[in-house]
Amino acid sequence: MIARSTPVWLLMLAAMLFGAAVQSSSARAITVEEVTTPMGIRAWLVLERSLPIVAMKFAFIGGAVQDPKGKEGLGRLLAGLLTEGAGDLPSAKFKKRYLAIGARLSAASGRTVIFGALESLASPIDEGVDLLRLMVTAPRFDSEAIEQVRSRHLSELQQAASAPEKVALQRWYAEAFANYPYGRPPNGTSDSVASITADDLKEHHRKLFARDVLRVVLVGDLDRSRAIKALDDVFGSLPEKAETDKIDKIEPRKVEVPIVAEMDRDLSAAVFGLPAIDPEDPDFPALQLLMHMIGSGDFDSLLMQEVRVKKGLAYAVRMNVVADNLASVMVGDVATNNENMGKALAGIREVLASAAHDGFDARRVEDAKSYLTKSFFLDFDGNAKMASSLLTLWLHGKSPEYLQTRNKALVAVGRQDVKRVAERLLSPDRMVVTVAGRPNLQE
Amino acid sequence: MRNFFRFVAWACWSLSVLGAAPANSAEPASEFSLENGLRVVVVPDHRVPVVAHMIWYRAGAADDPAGKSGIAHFLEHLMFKSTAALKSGQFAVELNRLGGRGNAQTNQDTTVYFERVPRDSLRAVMALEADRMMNLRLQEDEVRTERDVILEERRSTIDGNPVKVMGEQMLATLYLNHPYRRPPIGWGNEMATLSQADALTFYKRFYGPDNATVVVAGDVTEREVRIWSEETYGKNKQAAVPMDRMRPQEPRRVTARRVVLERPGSATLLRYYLTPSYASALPNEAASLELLAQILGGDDGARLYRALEARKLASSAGVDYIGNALEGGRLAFIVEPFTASSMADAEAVIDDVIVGMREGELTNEELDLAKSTLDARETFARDDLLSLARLYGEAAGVGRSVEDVEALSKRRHDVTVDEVRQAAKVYLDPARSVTGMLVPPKASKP
Repeated sequence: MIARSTPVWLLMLAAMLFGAAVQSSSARAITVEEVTTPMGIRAWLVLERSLPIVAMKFAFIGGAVQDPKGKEGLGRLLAGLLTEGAGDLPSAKFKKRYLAIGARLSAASGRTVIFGALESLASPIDEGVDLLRLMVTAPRFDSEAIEQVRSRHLSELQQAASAPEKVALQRWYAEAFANYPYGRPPNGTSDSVASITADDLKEHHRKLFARDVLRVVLVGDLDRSRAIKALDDVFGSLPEKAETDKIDKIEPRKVEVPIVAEMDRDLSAAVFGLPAIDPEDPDFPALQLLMHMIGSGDFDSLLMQEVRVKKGLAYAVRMNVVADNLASVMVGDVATNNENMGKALAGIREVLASAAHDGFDARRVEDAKSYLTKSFFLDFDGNAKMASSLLTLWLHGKSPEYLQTRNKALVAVGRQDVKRVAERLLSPDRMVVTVAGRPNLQE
Repeated sequence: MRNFFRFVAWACWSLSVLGAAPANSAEPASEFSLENGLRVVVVPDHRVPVVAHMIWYRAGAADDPAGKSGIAHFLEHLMFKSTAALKSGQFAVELNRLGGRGNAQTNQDTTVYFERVPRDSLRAVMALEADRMMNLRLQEDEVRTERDVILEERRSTIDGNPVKVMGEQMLATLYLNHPYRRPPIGWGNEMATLSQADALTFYKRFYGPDNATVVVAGDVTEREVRIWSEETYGKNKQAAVPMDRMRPQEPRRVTARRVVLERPGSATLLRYYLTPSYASALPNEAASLELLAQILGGDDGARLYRALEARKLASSAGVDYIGNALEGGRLAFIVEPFTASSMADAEAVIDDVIVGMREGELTNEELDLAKSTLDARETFARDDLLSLARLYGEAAGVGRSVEDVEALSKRRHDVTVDEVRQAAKVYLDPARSVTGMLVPPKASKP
């Protein structure tokens, strides 16, 4: 209360100081440089000098859809083995080397890409770059390491098989994309994983790791020439072209009734989803707004309002656009006790139907715009996050200019555009639903 | 001679890391207090126009009155309902409109509400938090609905997750007397009885500026935060929150204990040892415990995983020092054996590794590696704004200062081989331990 009695002149001084502070402290814009290195590596570069770390994140477009039939999980196993020995360093020595410099090397696989990353202190950087080069160009696939990673992988599969939300998600892709590579389990099955050999891994690595399918982003405390040299050092010796199978874009098929994967649990988990549109589609900004209003998972999002706040049926319910170079879908999930699952799903259908039928009030659309535009840079508040976010944009076919144009496109969307997109995309009869548990599907 | 050069190389490297850790502090972290007792910590970082804002109340699950376990957490949920100025649920709407994302978390000794927002929205977020600090209004029906939600949260995040159930049972066994034995979310039977009056009593007792610390990390200056916090939080009246938190203390340990839980899924082996926390440890002790955990099982290069890997017993293994509570911490071992049948062998490996630590050799080289690994980890923790704010907030929540946080990284460099071994001898004592075995039921398929 004493604060209120501050003399007026002090407040004025404060205001002046504060005005000055705003100018001096305000962060500069993110400057992304698109570079092509002397050895022809295309990369996005952000020279961020204020924290002494470097994040290099990359993706090879390929991923689980490139796993040969019967060898599902090959890309996943390959990613798992990248950090388990390379060049003349077997697993333990390789790990010891990167742990000794406090660096993190990692790799992961997705449905359509294999990811990798180096996070290192900016000094020393040479050792981290050299280990990453070995990891990308000369993974060893020692039999002992293969068995180790395979066992871990099998125990994860087993764990996933007992987690209703994972069972429901895998089943959703299997149903929506039945008979297509896109619908196959990206982590494989215990049989397919058991059948993978060292030769399979070597062959897969040779085919997939090439410069034409590489996307790489570097954010960190390096000068430009060192950053460019690092990119050449790591990726320069890869073959020019990948030998990948051509795979066409695909949409989820129609599945009439909820598919149930029986599991003996008190709780059941459901995944629901519909076809969406590509990130390049002019209506995509409207879809972003639509999905935010419906499925952000925030308390005020429509699904949360209906299922959690009004009916207390579930702790969380979300729905999101998941897009890559082969498919774009809106997928959501919800978990609740078995008894309430039918009611929760009915609530979800109602929300989607009403969005398509009634549209949204202007206030809600404006709030969504305000959120999506203002919050954009929250995904960039760290070197590692910035690198990941930029890589995602690139994989979505964007250029760095998108950082400037994105918010303008969102602002330009009208309330009617959102309704039109809702009508176009939210047809409840296209909704594919899978449930794992012992759900009561009575509404 | 070779060893000498190696030593020099290590020393230089450690120094460079030591110099590197606070390198973003062209403007260092600082703290100040408002007249009403609110403490404020500012950590400037100007990479992007974003800030992380957190408010830490010194009230948590261990402050739940007997028979009301879960009330601190229930109140955390209810804080998103109405205030005198905001309609129910409007907090989230306002936050979104400001371009922010937020959430909250209830720990044993603290409850924290946090947001990440564009820098231009910081003052408005402070105003929202200052409002709900004093002006919460609850309605009976929304309290009832929200109680269903926390019960559902318990079912889905704990009861449906065997490892979490195991962890809960182990804490209830590790602590014989202290309220840390209760899960922060509460026991289901007591949660079902929590009322609006219970929540408001807790709120009035613990929520006020003199029992909280605000941490802001990101694109701001101390001056801006001073002005904005005066204009928002500064208007709240001191609440005269009683500072004594006398809780039942632990008796002398008598024997090791075991918990076995049969659940479908894969096997997991856990072991906890009761230790002091950052706040309750002697000056070098917490740093020694951190290093001990790192040497034992901080990553795949550490002793435990290497020993298990050599015998092909486990797919993953780690040791963590969990020390962010006020009065007690733990060294936590977790091993995922390949099969339930290798559980006994895996446990024998844990015991061997511990004996090796208590009685065997520990070189300066191994200790230095652990130190530089923890330094690097701290530098990485400073990358993400929320984790940067958390670094200071977690400490502030249990009464530690900015200086204490920064002293810990320095102190780490002074820890000796003998101190680490001493920590192992004192704290890796079987009588301080609980071992937990999560195994699939015998009848079911592996």
